[in-house]
Amino acid sequence: MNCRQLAEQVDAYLDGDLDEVGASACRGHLRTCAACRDLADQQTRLRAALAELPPAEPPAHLWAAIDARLGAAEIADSRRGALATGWSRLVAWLRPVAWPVAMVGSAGAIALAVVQLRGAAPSQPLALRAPVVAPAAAAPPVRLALRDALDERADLEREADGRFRQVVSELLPLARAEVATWAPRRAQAFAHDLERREQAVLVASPGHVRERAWHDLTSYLERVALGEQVAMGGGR
Amino acid sequence: MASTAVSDIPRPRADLAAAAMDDATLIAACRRGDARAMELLYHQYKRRVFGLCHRIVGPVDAEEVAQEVFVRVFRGLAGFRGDAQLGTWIYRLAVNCALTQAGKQRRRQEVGDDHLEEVAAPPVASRDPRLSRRVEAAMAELPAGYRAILVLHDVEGLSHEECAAIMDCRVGTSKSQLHKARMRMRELLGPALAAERLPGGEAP
Ligand SMILES: [Zn+2]
Repeated sequence: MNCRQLAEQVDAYLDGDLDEVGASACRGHLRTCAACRDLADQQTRLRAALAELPPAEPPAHLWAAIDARLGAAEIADSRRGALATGWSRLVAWLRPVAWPVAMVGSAGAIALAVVQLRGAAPSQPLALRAPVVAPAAAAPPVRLALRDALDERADLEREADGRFRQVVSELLPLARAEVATWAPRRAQAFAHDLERREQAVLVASPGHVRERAWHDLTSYLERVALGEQVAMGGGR
Repeated sequence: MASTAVSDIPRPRADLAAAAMDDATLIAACRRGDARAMELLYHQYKRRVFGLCHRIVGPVDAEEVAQEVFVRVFRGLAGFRGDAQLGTWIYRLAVNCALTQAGKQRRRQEVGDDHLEEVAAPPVASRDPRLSRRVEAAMAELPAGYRAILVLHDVEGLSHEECAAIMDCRVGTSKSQLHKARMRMRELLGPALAAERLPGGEAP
């Protein structure tokens, strides 16, 4: 056995994990090598020091704090029970929001209208990309078509904003009920995260950017409102 | 939140021989919301859970993480499948919560949050306060994963089989991680460790 081998085996040796032959080889090397004896001594001291670390005493008020948080969680549960049906209706109502499709359509309509306004024939790919708006684009006064398309777009944006705002207003109490069971620091982090996402919505330009910001905000609230799904079973 | 004193509400009170309750009985009683059973479970595991949290995240965050662990224990008992020992499951929750917190601490540290400079404040040491303090300071320098296995095995005295079950890894992995953690500790402690006498050694 050489020094490198001993360094690798010293743990197993000191833990008594080696068989007779292995242990004997270690002892043999330790008898003849002062450096490795030092190493083994240090490992022994380290183990003793770790085993003798003074115990960390749980503070006396710890149970009361846990009990209070469990109580807050139960109160939140009871509120959630009442709101659960409201929540599932909300989700069903949110599903058919037509924003992304409608926005693609109206953006296409604008592009098409602009092209027609310039008197150029819409290229084939563009027409293919926006078949939905063909009737609108074909309407006689081109200027009107453009204005309508812009109006429609603004309406859609307002409608989507309104819907998302309502979703948030319904999710927020659910999320707050969940957050009430958290430790103060986590609750603070929630407030911070929420504010950041609300700010993102405020500063986002209308359209897909704002839509993404809304989605980010609502899905964050949704996750919190439904509670953290931590696997408590066998896994992590 | 305006909640009343939560522990004062009426709860089921089965006639439990507090001391002699096996895990299954204890779990069933806790699931029913039996206050005494819950407190009993808490007292049974508080030292080790708090110890794990304290050693892994340090004194500042230990209490909050320990609270989190027990809240998750009681909230999660309904989903506890009994395919692990109750203790193993609780310690796994403790280690997971503590490592999550340790990750946050590291991120905060990277951002330059200064109040994290405070390293494990030493409780009163039993045998050799100087060495205990150095050991705790060195542990604070370890990567959190190394710290966890070192605490489980060398401080709490759990077997590699138990450590592997808690860390959700193979026994071989637990051993090799521990070996690396100890080697790192030896490097960190350096001469301090060499200079110390073996406990019970001759007086200076
Ligand atoms: Zn050697």
